[in-house]
Amino acid sequence: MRFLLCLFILISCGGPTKPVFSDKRILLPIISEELKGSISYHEVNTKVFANKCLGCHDSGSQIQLDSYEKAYPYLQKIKKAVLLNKSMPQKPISQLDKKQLELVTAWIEAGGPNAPLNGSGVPDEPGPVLKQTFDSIKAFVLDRKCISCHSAGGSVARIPLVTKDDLLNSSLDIVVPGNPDDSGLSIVLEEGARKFMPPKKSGFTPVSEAEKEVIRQWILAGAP
Amino acid sequence: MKFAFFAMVLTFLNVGFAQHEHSLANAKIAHDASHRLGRLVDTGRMDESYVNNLSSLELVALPHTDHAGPAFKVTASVGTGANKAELLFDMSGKFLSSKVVASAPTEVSPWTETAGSELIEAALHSLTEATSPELMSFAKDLAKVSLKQSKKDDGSVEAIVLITSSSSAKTVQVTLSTAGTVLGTSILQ
Repeated sequence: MRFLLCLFILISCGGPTKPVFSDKRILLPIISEELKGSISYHEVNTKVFANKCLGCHDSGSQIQLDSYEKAYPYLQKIKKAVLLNKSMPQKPISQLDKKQLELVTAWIEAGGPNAPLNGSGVPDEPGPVLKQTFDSIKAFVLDRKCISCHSAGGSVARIPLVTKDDLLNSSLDIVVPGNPDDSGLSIVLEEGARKFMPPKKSGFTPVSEAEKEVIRQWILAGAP
Repeated sequence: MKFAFFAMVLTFLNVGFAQHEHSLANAKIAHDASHRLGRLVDTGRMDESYVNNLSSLELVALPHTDHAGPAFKVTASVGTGANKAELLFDMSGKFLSSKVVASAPTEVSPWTETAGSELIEAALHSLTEATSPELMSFAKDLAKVSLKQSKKDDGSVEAIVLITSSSSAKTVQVTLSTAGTVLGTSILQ
C-alpha cells in the first residue's frame, strides 16, 4: 500500500514533460481604440504590404495581398505569420518595424476593415497604379522586388538600384534611355534571361508582363 | 605672390586629375568587361561561349588624351584562346566598343554548373570588395585574370582563378566551387 502511495505521489509530482505555459509569450503592441477605429486596408497596404509583402504576395502568388478582397480571407494567416510566429516577412526582407507592427495589429484587432470603422476615409479608395515614371517604377517594382538585395547592406550592394542615378549612370548600362533592348533592367526581367531577376530562389514573384511593358515604355521614352 | 598662388592652384588641379585617373580599379574594368560580354551574348551580338567558356581577361591601359576616348583595352579569351574579343572602355569605365579578333570553332565548355564568366566575376568580387591593402593593390593594378579547373584528390573539381598585377610579381589565387562560391583566397609568391 505504501509502495503504491509513493508511486502515486511520484507520478503526480513528475508532471508533464512540457510546461503548460510557455515562456515564449507573444507580446503584441497595445493598440488604442482610436487607431483601431481609423485603420483601413488601404493604410496597411500602403505602409506595410507594399514594402514588406507584395514582392512575393502579388498577382503571381498563391496568397495575394494586393487588394482588399484577396487579402481579407487571409486575415488569420497574416496574424499568425506576421504577429505570432514572426515567420513573415522572409529574408532578404527585414522584419516589420514597431510602427508597422502596430498598424497590422490594429487592423487585425479591428477585424480587418476595408474602410476605417469610425467612418473616416473612403471605402473604395482606388489604390495607386504603375505609371511610366521612375518614382512609380521604384514603388511598384524596385522597392518590392529588388532593393532588399540591391542596396547598402544587401547581398548585391555593388549594383545599387535605389536612385534614378543608380539606373542611368551605371557602367553596367542598367538603363540606356531610349533603348530597352540594351538596358540591363529590361533584359534581366525576361523569362529565360541568363541572369533572370528577381532570382527564383529569392521567393519574389517575377515581374508581371504589364509591369515589364511599363518599364520598357519608360526606357523607350528616354527614362524621364 | 601671384606666382605662388597660381603654382598652388596648378598643384591642386594636378592632384585632382591624378586622383581621378587612378580612382578606377582595373579589377572593376575587368569585372565590367565580363558583365559586358554577358550583355553582348544576351543581345545576340556575340557567341555564348564568351560567357560559358570565358577563360581569361587581359587588361591594358592605353595612352589617351581625351576623357571620352579609349583608355582601357580588355582582351577576352575563350577556352584555349582560339576565340578572342577586344573590348574598349573610356577612363570613367564606360564601355565604348567590342570586336572579335580571333575566331575558331566553338570548344565545349568544361563549366556545366556555372558559366566561366560568372566564376571570374565572383573571383573579381574578392578584389573589388577587398579591404586588405595587398588585395586592394591587386584590384588597382590588375593585369590578367585567368580561370582553370583543378581536380582534387577525391576526383571533384574546383575552379581556380589566378590574378596577376602590373605592380607585383605575386599572384592572387581565388578558389571557388563549381557553383561559384568562393572557398578561399591566397597570395602566391
